[in-house]
Amino acid sequence: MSEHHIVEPDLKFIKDMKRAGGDSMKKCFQCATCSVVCNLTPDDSPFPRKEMIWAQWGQKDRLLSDPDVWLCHQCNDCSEKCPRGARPGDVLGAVRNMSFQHFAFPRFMGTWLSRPAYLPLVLGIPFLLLWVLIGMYGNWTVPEGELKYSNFLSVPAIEGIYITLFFLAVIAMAVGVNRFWKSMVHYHGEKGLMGAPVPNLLSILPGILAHRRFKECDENKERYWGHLGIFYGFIGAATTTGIFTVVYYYGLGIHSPYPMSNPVKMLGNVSALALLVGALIVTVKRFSGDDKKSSYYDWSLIVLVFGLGLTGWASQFIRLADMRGIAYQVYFLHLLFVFYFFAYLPYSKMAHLAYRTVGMTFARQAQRDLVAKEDIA
Amino acid sequence: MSEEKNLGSILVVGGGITGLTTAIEAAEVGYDVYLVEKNPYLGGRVAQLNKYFPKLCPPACGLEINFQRIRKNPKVKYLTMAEVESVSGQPGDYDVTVKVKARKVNENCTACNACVEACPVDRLNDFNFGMDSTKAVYLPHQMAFPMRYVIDEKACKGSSCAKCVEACKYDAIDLEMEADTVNLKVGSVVWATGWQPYDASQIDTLGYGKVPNVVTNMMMERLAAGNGPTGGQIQRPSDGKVPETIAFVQCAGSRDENHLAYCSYICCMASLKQATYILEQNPEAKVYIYYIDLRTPGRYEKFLKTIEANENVVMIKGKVANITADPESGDPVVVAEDILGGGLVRQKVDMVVLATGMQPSTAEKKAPLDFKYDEHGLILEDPQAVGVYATGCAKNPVDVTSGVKDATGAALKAIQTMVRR
Amino acid sequence: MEKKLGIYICTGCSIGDALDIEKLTALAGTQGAAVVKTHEFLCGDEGAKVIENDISAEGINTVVIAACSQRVNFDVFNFPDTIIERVNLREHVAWSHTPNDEDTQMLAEDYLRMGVAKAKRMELPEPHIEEDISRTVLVIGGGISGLTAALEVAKTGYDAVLVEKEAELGGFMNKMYKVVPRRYPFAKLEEPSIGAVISEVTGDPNIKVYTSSQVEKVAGQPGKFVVTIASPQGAVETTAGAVIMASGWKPYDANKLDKYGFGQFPNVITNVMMEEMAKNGPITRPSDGAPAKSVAFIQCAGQRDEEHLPYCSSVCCLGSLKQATYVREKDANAKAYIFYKDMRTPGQYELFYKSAQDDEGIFLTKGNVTSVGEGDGNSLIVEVEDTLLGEPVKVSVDLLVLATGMVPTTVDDPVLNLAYRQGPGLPDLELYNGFADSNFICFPYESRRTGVFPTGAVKMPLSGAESIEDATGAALKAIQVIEAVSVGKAVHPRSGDSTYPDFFLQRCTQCKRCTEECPFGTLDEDEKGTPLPNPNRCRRCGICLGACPERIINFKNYSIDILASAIKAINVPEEEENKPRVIAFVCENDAYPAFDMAGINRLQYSPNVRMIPVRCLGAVNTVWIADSLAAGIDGIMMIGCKYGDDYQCHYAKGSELANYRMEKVQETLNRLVLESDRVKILQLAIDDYDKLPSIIDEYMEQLDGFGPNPYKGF
Repeated sequence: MSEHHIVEPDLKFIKDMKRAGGDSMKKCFQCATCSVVCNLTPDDSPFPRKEMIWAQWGQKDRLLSDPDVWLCHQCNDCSEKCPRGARPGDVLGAVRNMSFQHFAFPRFMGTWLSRPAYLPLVLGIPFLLLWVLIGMYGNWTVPEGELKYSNFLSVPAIEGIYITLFFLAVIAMAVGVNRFWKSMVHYHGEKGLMGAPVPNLLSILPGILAHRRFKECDENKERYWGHLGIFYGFIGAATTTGIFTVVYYYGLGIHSPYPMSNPVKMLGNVSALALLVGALIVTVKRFSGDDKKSSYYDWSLIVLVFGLGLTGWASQFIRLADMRGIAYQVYFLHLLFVFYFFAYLPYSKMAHLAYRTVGMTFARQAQRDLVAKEDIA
Repeated sequence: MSEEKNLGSILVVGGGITGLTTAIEAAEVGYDVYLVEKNPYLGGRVAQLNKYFPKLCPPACGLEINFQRIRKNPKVKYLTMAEVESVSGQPGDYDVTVKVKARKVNENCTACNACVEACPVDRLNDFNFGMDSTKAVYLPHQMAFPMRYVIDEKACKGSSCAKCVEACKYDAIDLEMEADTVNLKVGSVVWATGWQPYDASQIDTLGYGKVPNVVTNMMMERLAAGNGPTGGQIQRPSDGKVPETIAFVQCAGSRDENHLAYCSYICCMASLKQATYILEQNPEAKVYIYYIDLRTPGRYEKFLKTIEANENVVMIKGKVANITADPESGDPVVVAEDILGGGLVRQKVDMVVLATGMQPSTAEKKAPLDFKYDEHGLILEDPQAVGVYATGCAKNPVDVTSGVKDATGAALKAIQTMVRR
Repeated sequence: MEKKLGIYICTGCSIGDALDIEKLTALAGTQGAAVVKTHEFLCGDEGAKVIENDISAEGINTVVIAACSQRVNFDVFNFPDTIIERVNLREHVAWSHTPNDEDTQMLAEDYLRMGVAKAKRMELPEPHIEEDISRTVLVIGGGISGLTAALEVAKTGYDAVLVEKEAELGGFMNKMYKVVPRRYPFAKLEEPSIGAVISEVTGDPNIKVYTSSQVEKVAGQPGKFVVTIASPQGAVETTAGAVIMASGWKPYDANKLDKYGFGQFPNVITNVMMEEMAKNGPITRPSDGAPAKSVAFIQCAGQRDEEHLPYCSSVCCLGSLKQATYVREKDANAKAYIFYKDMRTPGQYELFYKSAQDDEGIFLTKGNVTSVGEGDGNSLIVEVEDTLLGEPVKVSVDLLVLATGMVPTTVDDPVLNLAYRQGPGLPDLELYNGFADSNFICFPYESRRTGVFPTGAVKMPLSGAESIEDATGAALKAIQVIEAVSVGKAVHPRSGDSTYPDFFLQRCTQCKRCTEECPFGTLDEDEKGTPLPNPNRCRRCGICLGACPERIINFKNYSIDILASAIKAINVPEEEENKPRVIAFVCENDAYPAFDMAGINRLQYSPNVRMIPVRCLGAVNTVWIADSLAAGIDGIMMIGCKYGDDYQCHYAKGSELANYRMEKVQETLNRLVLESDRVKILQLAIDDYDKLPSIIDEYMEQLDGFGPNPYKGF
């Protein structure tokens, strides 16, 4: 038996957790139905029963450094079967949301993204920044001739901002994820770890790309398609942007707008469609579920996905339809969403793409994820 | 108090242990009582029990005393196969309509059994939860009170067969008997319609009805009872094998807001008691009790200690939330997290007993009175109410002792209504 | 009363097929009956009419009905002011023995003779009715149970006298800051409503309240208790018809819980102390008066612990959930920890648990508290193992509350102070950990002092709401006993019986057996040791009759003579006939119905056994054994209820006493060089009917080994 561990419940953490989607966590009475019905948990020290009591007891550090939290894909089989309405799936989702906050670099950014009170600030900053930028380098009046968004704000200006934002986000993300990894190592200890991070990462990638864990869910099967759409929608959008920027603009010197028949353009449009369809599936599910709860983090992401996709598409069609009256306004909105996307990526729910990958890598290292038959084989 | 004085009448609805108690206790103070029971016999759920916890004494013993009290007391009048259809009026003066189903066997019945020997039709025995069968004419159970046979209308072929009518020397069988309506005038009403076992097939994770040899605790009572389907030998329903390993699944439907949000009070004690049934017949058997909290309040604790001391009984903290059939043997496999042991357990056993809870009978059919109910159909009694009362498991899941105490109090409340007049 | 006997033999239900009815009727004709009739359907309208007509037209006043068990058709064969003896030819003869067999016929004939013999000696009971029955109920204890009982008694039109030891009414409820919700949805703590109950009681003209008073003595019997109350004004004497004992509980002595630091650290308190503190203001640390920002509760502080209280106190889980809730209500930043073994919130209280735990500042876990020590600055460190957090934990708290348990007041105080020969309190409380509980699941108000009903927490650990329910029932039982004794009838389990034991005291030798052995303390004694009967205390079990070596205790319809003559009525065949005869004295409550069940199931057993139903095995006098053996009976079975701690005897001690007495009989048999096992005592439950054939067969085999009774023919 290990040493007695001094336990000091963190009331603030409990309050934050409740706000981040875990408001039902105190209802748990530790029957462990959740651990039994979960198709993703290992047999040894299964989740999410133990996470539930840690959450109830405000055991912040323990939860935030628990790789099991990232094995959970929130199919909510446990929440459906929970006899107390404690919704363990949502509680684990809240822990993940809390991770974005807790490991955030700089930390205040985590707080900003954690609740709606900061929304004016969070939206106001890019709004003002873009406004000022357009004032300096752009032009609100649409000139005669072909409708081109580069007339509104020049491509170098846009690239200047967004490439900077992109790298800042990558740095922030790296710092946050590094903190997360260290914390997991600290709590887990060296014992029982197997292999090195990179090979482990590579070994889990196929599973992630195939969305294998989503398929294990009994309840909520639609989420597999929803997440798949959004996931590959983003990958497609990122690829489109990357090719246009690096190959076309800077490499070949071919400037936008690109014709609709351009294969890269087509990829972009398909990706936007995937994003929107995915987001639609997820949203419909959220509204149709009997007592499904969604946190601020969830809604922020859904609004962002819709916003990016819709304003992107709208800008394109407005340009093709030559609807000069609203073109720049819509494009401005699109730029705003893209700004939000990059600037807040390490702190919003989007950050899970890094945290989950890292968490799952650690879980592989700690041999916690060998549940799915494919993994064992 | 002289016998002749008419103090007023009390209607007691439900002839289980609580209703019986209310009726007899009030009658022994000197009041006339009408006891209305849905089944063809009195005794209700406890008549189906093999033993009471914690004394492990037969419920028939206490029922016998209560029936003796009825035999000696003409103030208790009982109607079986009867249900109250309507109650109108006010405290002290209620008009009650009771619908009495056709028993098709009249008071001439001597319980000689000749009709059963003649009857060609079988029916599933609901008293034993369908684990065996009786003829279409049958004695509800061997210790039934009143000791009178009854014909299952649904199973009986009617006058086209009438073999029983020929067999009966006493003109006791009347296949043309119709349902009857009885009107009563009473001063107060006590609702004691008790409970039903929660329908285990509603709990989709626990395999009841799908996985063989998953039974409920009430079925276990019948399996262990001498007058049960197996003559008291505990056997697996699928193949008659004597189970060597048995898992008890506590809170099967209770303490669960998807089913019954409340705790059914008796199931922990019932499972401990049933562990003694199993170990008495097979001391080498292994009994596993999966629980959330072991609830043996008060002096029941002593019973828990006794059972715990048996090394063949293992208590595991963790609720079973999955039962499947082993693909090879077909045996049930229970899955739970052994919380104190630190991992998921997948255990193959010979037999599983689901400790299902008590659902008030009023969940299915409300009383024709203006009671309020909670979401599970439990009667929410207004402490200020006069004239109409609820008692026992119709308002709160309790053990027999608590139910009887409450029933005794309900008798007083019913009497007070009359005193006020 | 000049007896005019009618014998009615039913031939229905296979009786006529199994027996030679002509022969039986002929035998009946020799029994001095005015009328002997047979009928093929005696329990039918016509059959019953036959008897009725004979009663009214022929003046028949003593009826022997040779038909089915006395347990059926009780309503058909119910003729007022007539002596009725039922001879069970159906379940006990025709259905359980070979039809048209010589032995079966002999059995039926013996039963008929025995029935007639009994009927001839039985008399109609005349109730013993005392004058001036008091319709006042004495209630001891002014807590929630006592207050409720007194109020309910008064609401039913009877008077109550309430005696409370303390200066204030209300008991522990009066010390409560908040109470656990009693009503759906069981979510919010309730304000204690005891104040309203107290004023209702003090304002009721039919309730007389004595505070700062104690019951010094209760003498007499139900309907006529004479109660001496020691009040501040001096001794007061009053009468009462019944007694409700609601003296409640006291907290377990926390000084014995030094393992949790009580007495050592000032910041360790009990749940009772916590309640008082909360009632009086903020929750603080006793050591320095600083606000308690964190409070830990240890459940089962002494309970469920063989070294302290082996039982569970039922309400402490609810109590700690309540206290944790108000710790948080009083200070939104406070923390409350509860360490439990099992969270016990049975029934709908589960809903309270559910609502209480849904508070961010309440921390619950199963666990065993292994140590309590001092931390920094007046704090306490509580170490807990086997927790649900997956590892041992320790918490630092300002205040530690021990959820101590309930100890019944009866544990060291008789409370009742009965002026009874058998002592001032209720007997056998050690069976119930000192609680004044009933041993019967289905009869929770049973006590071994007639007319005395323990209720509330003195009976078992109960919540306030449960106490109210319990006390309401106790009020009914108190009223019921008053009504019963006012018409000279017995209460449970022989409710309605108007017989009572007659003592022919001229022949009493003051052996005190009856006064010592009565399970209900019915008999007092004068200074010489002569019994002083108190008929209203009597439960009519007949255990005194069984005890009396002088055979001077008898009931009108159950006496030494009646049963002795039934024994004599048995025809004992000559030794050469090789037909052993066995008498089985069977308890009419359980063993007799078991034999009925055996008959219903057509189980077959030896026809050489003659059953004699008795009120209780304790109501078997050894003289009947001697008479039987002297008459050449080969063996005697005594079949009664289980005895021991979990006794099933409805008279508590009957079967145990029978066993004790039979040991003595067996010693005597050994002295007489008779096999002691010729007298066999057996414990049988009502549902053991399936075992009866083998029990009897085994006994008959054993008896066979002994050979015939050597006294046969003397």
